[in-house]
Amino acid sequence: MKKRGRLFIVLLVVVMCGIFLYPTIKWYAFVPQETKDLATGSKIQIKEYASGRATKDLRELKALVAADPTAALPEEYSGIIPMAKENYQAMKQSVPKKWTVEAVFGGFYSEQGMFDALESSYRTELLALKDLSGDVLQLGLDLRGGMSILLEADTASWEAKNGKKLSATEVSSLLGDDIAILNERIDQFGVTEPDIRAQGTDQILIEIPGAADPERVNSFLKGKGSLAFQIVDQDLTSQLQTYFKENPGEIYTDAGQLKQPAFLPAGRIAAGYYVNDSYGLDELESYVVLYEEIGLDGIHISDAQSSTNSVTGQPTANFELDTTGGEIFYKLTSTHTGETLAVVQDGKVKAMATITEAIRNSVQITGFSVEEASDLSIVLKTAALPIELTVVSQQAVGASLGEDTVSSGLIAILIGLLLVFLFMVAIYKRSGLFADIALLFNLVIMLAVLSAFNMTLTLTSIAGLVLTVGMAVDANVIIFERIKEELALGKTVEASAKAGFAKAFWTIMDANITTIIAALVLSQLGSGSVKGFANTLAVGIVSSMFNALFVVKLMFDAVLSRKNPRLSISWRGNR
Amino acid sequence: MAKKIFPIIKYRFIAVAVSAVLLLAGIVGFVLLDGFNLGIDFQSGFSQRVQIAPAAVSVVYAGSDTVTLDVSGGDTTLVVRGDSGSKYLSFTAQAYPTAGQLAAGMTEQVPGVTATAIEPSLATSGIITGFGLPATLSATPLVLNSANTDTASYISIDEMRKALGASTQVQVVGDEYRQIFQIKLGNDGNASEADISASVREKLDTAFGDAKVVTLQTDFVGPKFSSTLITGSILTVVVAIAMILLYVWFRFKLSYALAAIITLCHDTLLLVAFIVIFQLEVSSTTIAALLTIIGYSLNNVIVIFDRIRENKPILKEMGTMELIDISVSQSLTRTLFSSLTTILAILPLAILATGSIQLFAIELAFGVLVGAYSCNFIAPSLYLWISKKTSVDKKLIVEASIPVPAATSVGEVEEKTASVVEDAGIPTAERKLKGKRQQKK
Repeated sequence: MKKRGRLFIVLLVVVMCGIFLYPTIKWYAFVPQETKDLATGSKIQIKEYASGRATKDLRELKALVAADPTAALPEEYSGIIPMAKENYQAMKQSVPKKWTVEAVFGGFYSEQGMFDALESSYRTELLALKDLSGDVLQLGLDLRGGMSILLEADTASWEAKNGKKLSATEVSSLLGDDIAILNERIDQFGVTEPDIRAQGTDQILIEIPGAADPERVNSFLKGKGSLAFQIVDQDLTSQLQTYFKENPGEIYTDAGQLKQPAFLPAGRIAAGYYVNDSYGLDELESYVVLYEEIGLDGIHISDAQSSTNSVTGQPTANFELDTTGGEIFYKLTSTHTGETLAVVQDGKVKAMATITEAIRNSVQITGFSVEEASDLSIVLKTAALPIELTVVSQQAVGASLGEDTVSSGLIAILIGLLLVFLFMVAIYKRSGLFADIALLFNLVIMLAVLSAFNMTLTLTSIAGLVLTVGMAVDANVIIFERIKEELALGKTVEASAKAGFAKAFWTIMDANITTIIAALVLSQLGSGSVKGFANTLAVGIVSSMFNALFVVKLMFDAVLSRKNPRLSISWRGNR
Repeated sequence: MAKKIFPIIKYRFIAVAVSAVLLLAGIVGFVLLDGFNLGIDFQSGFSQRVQIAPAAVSVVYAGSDTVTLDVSGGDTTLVVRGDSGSKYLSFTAQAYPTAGQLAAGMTEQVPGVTATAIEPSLATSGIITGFGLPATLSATPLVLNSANTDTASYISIDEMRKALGASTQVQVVGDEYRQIFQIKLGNDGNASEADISASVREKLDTAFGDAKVVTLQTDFVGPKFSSTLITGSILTVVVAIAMILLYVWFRFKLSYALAAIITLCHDTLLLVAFIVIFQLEVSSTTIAALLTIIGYSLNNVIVIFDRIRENKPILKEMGTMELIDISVSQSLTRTLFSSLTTILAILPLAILATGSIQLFAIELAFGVLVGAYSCNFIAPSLYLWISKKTSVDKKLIVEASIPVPAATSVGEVEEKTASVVEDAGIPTAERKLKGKRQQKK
């Protein structure tokens, strides 16, 4: 390969690492702790915070404009300037050059408009950070603790559904299956390192590293059957809406549940239609009447994927149906063409669409947020929970390792790394330094790729990373020893380097491909930490091969392109 | 520089004997020491929540009525049920802010009840609710504990860890000021929930003084890795080994593949034997160590086999044993340096770190040493024996058609190899030729 091509590829990898590591660096270095706490809270907390802050800001701005209309807008409120600018442009007025408090007020039609703009600036910031927090390297349960969630088997609903009593041993075997499925759902790549165990006779104790989002945890507990397609009864729906409008006291029961009005015939039920508000929270929009009979059960959905509608830009969920599901759905849609179909999740109508034609295999539905669609796809890809679970308690738990254990471990890891680096320089001189640079880069690549897999750093995984570095030296040792052998044969420096890299190539390939095969098999078939180990190993091998054959080669090329090059590769003699 | 050729293959019987003895020691150890020392990742254990809360008040009752005591939100309620009906008495935290006042109040207002303040100055607002309450009072003293509100006497998580020992996992629950800790510990014998609970109490009492700790909840927890998960993982490893066998067979030859796989099993089993003999605690990091050694051993063996394969056509007129000696010797620097760097990375962890990470490092260090030994002694010997077996039939056909120099037939070289010590002349000359040819291209 040409030198320039090699340089290009190395630069490309550097850029990729930057992109993968950007969220982690931003999160840990530039986000203040209070903001982190807010962003990792639930969406409801974010909503409360944003509207609270907006109310306070609006009050303060009003006080400011009353005191001195020509005062410059304080920095902290600059988030609403873009909105004000847009409004000025929409009103076809000239945009003020200097943003005084008065000028900002002039940019909004009403106080409500200003409040919305303020709220939206807080909301966008926090929701963006919340997304960011999902892409960063987390510290594991041993280093920083996390969230402890106690779940209980819902034996009552199982017994009601299956019509028989459960014995204690049956419950614990069902729970065992649940644990296996939860492991798969929570730890897709095996690098999140949760701790999931049975507790007592009918409970499951889950510990998830980091500030786990309670909403996401809930989404993993959802059953496959929580999703269903039902036909909407249009006439009764309009009747229901009028009825509720006229009798607002009749909408809810004392327990806060939707009342089923007396005029609904058997086989019809009233349900709430919910849309995602700007926080992604369910907001009640209106009421619909559904045929109670389920058109298509969610168990027939084989896959769900999220995408964006190319026309409207709205997030879209694509559901793939299995063969039986396709048959049922085709029958349903052909007999009900022109009517409205509702997608119901956990008793809430999430989306409605008019059936335009008979559909067989694949359904596209808007009304789900991107997160919901991707969580749904994880749930659908794994088996259904044999017994439903309810959350008993959620609590934050601290680190499981003591501070001195962590610090002595980290110091030891650093010393090890340093020893390897010094050893390489001592044995291979400048070439050893090249190898060291490549090793550091290797570490960065591994962290970058693994952070994209939601890797959690535990003390052991950090030690594993450093160990991979110790082993990654191997490829360099093989190459350098080969070059030394060639030099010993009396070849020129250029020829030795060329032959050394060429001959070492297949040795390195064969040795590493064999290990990669093992890693891939373990990653595909293994579960939990075995899978995580395999993924880390595979990433480590590919990255170390890349470093030895590209990065080190590039540095050698740079040396060899000089006049009268010296390799500086051996501690013996002047080579 | 001409590399020294070491007569490695000469020691093949000694090497195999050493390995056999070590493996046997592992089996004997497994039987005598009753298997593995499993940690809480692999066996069920107990999870307990405790709160540090010094004893505030001790209450006894010596009357004929039934008196129950309950606490909620710092308010203590006594219900006296007797022949004359029931009587409710409430002692709010507001009216009785300290333990001393509460004790005096209860003793004064309820005939038969004697409450003694153990720590009179403790605030009653922190009295712990829950475990064991509501309680019926009797002559046996009921002790009410109050959560510590004095930051100076907080018990830190490190002190808890020290008190409970290394094999117990301790975590803070919620905010640290609440002084609630979660304890997880394995159950190696068949101790009951009560036994475990008592032993935890005893340890905490000796460390922090009597009656300072309240048990909020005790529960049985299952292992993190269930037995189905373990059998599944072993099966996965077997599949992985089979795939490796196929690849090495395809890239090299069956004899290389078989030798590599047997060496891999050898290394893994020796590490397992080491873990059994020294009764190292088996945790999830042990799995990581075993898998690492599988990859490591494979890597080492393939590098050496690659050299044998490369030298074979160059050293045509040599016997397999000489060929092996030369190839192993040529790779020796690499084997040593690579093992050394890995050991350098691990050694500080094995010395300085504590707990499971130290065990991880010790296991790996042992595994790396075994790997360095087996790739030089065991793997080439195995290759020699297996290739001898498989090549017999082929050789007969070859010999029939082309006359082969005597030195190539494997059986006869044995005497000669013993004397081969440092003759690297042949390979070097041959390789020079090859190098020139390549340069011409």
